[in-house]
Amino acid sequence: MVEWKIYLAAGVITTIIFSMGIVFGFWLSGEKVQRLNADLESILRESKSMELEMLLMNTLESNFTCRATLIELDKITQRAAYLGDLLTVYENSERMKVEEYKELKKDYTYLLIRYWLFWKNVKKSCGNVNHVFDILYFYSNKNCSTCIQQGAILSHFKKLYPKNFMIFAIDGDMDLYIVRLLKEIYNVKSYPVIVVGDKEYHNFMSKAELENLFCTEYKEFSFCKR
Amino acid sequence: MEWMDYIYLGMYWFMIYTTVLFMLVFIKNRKYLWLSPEVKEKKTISFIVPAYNEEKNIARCIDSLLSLDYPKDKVEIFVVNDGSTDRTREICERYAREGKIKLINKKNSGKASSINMVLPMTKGELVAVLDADSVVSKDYVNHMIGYFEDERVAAVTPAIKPLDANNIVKKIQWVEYMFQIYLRKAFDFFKAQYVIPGAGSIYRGDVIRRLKFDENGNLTEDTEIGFRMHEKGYEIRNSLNAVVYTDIPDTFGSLVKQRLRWYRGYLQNVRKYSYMILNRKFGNLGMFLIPANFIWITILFLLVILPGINLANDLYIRYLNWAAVDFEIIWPSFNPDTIFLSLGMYNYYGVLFLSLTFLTLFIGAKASKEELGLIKKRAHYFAYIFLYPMLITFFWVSATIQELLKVERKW
Repeated sequence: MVEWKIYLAAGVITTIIFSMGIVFGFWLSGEKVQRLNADLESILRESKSMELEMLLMNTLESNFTCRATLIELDKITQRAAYLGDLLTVYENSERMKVEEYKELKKDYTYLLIRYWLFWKNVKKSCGNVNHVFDILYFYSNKNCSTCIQQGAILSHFKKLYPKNFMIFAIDGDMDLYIVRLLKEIYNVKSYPVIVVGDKEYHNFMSKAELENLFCTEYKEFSFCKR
Repeated sequence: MEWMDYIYLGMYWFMIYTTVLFMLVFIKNRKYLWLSPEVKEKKTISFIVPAYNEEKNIARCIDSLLSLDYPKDKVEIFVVNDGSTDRTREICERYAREGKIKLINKKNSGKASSINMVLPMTKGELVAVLDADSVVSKDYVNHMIGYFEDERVAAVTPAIKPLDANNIVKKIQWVEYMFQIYLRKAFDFFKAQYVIPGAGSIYRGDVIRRLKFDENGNLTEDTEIGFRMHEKGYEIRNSLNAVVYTDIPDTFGSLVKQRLRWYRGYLQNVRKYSYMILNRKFGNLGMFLIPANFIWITILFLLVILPGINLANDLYIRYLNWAAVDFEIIWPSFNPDTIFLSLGMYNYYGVLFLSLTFLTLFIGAKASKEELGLIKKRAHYFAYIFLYPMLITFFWVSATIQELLKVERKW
């Protein structure tokens, strides 16, 4: 005879133990986003002084603070890039993304675009003394078969020369006005799109093609000497 | 979450469910765990020992039967020499000359046929089958016979333990056997035991003489007779107190051979008795155990396939990325922050399964009156936790494929 009560009891206990895993998953996901948010806010706080320096530089049309600003911008962009890496880990590994993550990603995108603009302004005011390539990279997780490889190639350059390559990777699928505006400015219809300096490239760029491109502006990279 | 996550979660729910269910069954019946039912009158018992090339084991097996703590006039021992080509016959003849056993020499025809040949010669109210590579404990019969006071009971199975565990293959099985002792008792409480192992199970004499063992190419006659007993409405019980020690495979090759036979035999018999599946008449066996076994086999299969697909996909992407940078090696930097970010619900389930496994092993150790000895037997548990899941998956998947492809069955 089948004892339904024991099956039912096992079902209830299992569902409780099992649900704890899902609750734990959501709680942990929330904790992760909170921590990433704290990192983001910390970067934003640190960048306030730099923003003032930029304002000072532009208002007085002086390059007196160039050296200090460049060091600070480099430092803070590295931190933003690090945060970007953490966001990628979260996005790829997290099975239970909480709603707050969307907001976090939006804020991070604003941050990236802001730093990209900073770099452009600093380079305009101070000149490209450190041979920095600011690369705006539009990618899509949904409609792009070569974006993973393109990202890997750009990361490769970044790992080789972290001080010379500032990569600002923008998720083209993000529903943000500023992203739409940038896509319109750079005529982004498909992915990947790379903007190096003022030039835009609308196809997948191989490692060799990018090496040639960088070497035309700065020949001191090891790959230019081969 | 993606579709694969829902599959994983479904599998995890079911895995936890069956573990919890058997634990509950066990806890609910804890009072009866070591209870050997009272015996009104000691019954006569006939032992059948089928032996094929067992020169190393047969004397040990017979000696254990001769040392039984049971009235000698109520015991008869038949040894069937199934066409052995080694010294089995010579050793048995010595015992036969001394009148200790009845020896039947025959041409090799397999275990089921050997037992069936002897069954009509047995006079015992009970008939026990004992593999020649097994050894019984002195009081084993006394703990089992009480169950036969209940007319519905047609067979009783003992607690089977390995004779030794002196290498990695045997160590894995040592833990498995301990777990099996627990599981068999849970199935007993569930009235759903379907395997009546040849290592010392006792049958009601008139029932087994009438039913006989299946000789028609059945790979596991002990499973077939189990299903047939359920079909006829008999009950199969289990005694935790009755201990039988058996020789277990000592190499991976012999283990693979044995398990493929066992699992193919199970599948063969489930197909034969498929009408039991989801049939209320067969209680927990039909309504839960057989379907649950199928779900478990599917889960084992998916637990190999799905991570395999993930891994292959991941490796492919890594290869493409590496190719994109002309196979230049840049060592990845270790980032401790990513550890926290990589944690999630799957880690919870991982810890949960590990805890449940140890809890089950703890109960298994208690049930089999063995010392858990986590430190002393760490090699046993390490091998069991990390190697056994892969082995069992391999066995089930191979057995299923062989059955589906109708690969020739060999005993």
